[in-house]
Amino acid sequence: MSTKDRLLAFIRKADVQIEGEVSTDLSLLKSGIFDSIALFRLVEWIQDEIGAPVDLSEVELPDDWDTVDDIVRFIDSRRAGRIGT
Amino acid sequence: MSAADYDIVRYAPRYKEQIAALPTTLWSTDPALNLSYFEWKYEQNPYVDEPLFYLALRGGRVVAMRGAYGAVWEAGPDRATVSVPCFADLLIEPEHRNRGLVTRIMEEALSHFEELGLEYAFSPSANWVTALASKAMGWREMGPLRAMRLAQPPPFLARLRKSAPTGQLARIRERVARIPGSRRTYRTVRGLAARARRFRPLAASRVRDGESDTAFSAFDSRVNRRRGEGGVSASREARPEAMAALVKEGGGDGRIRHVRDPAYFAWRFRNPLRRYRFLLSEDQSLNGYLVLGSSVQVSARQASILDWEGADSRARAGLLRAAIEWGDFQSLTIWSESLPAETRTLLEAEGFHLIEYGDDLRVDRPRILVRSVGKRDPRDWKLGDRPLLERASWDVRMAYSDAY
Repeated sequence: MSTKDRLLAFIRKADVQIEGEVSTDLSLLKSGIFDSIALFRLVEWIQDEIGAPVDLSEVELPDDWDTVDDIVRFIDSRRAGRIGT
Repeated sequence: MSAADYDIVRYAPRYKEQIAALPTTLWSTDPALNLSYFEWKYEQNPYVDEPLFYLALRGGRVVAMRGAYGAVWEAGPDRATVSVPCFADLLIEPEHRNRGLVTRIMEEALSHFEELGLEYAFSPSANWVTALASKAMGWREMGPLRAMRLAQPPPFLARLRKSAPTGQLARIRERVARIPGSRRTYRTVRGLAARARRFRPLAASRVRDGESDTAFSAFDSRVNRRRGEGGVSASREARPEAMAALVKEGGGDGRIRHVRDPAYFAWRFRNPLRRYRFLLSEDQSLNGYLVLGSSVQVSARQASILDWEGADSRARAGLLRAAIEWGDFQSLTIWSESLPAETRTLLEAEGFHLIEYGDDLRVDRPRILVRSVGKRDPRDWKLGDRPLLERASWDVRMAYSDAY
């Protein structure tokens, strides 16, 4: 299962209000779909995927994590960074 | 239900009773007390003409709210003043969460701010959930802010320490530390206890029972016995004119700080969910003050130093010593981020130490969130000539946060 598929599965299970299918360019953060505890769960999920904590002061949340595509790109870049170090 | 099923509206007096009934886990379980808190914070605030308060309604019923209280700041070499309200009191009823309400309420609030010609908004009391949601909406954190605490053991432990033979407690501590997972368990239990204390709904009886069992009971009884000792006295009321005059005499160094004028001092410490004590150092006139604050729901001797000024280091040291000796607090906390090295040394000499918050996202720690009302590059966010996102730009005090 790819990161994108796992993320889509996570979003479908999350206690958030999304009408219809989850598209990979759907705004999750700027739209406010993920706020409060659901957002925290998303942060945890991303950290688990990367296998390391994320310093949120280094992340532009509304830009870097707004859509499924954004989040997958972020995770891939962090994984690549970890492999490179 | 989606976000479209809600009406987002600005405050009108007809919603006041509903607002007072909503924050039973945020303010108190007593609607009458909540009403007086709302009136103090949003209606009696000296820097706004009308409450900056925003609501989500479902079928005409208030299900979510967010407020911003008026605040005026000064910064730069000429101490130019700028109105920057502070957001606070975000609450969404559990069954209406994760439906985009925070975003819609904030959009309404920021649209109102734009109409009022405001450039920035601050948030000095966000808990970890609000901080995270705010960052997702483009807020930036100025910080992390450092804080120091003087912690004294609870009485039973103090007695044990006195009676235990030398070295025995240290040996017990070493043995416990060797048990696998004991440190993590201790940290978890301590974190849960702190959270439970924070979110415990405030029983109305605690406020109505009078002042016999408060963080300041020891302080008050000692003050009564030692009134006037060393030129320091204590009061339950602020002295707005004298305190503002002292701040004005001290000038400023251009860092961002709240305007502390008589109107501010007359309003700030009338929060009905908190108790305050004012230590005053006087010679011919007021030459120093130290403001202690504590929650009305805390009966343990836990307090914070919210504001502290002195004409010289001697006056400041005298005030601190009186606060420690008279209060005999189990915990006394201060935001130490902006304090000069000399003052931090003084605090360390009195037993204060830096609080370690760790890197768990779920820890509530001192922070000030900042955002521009318009879409401006964060690198250009400035007040006076001071960059808003740099800690060195600020002279922060706990009194700026409505959490105290």
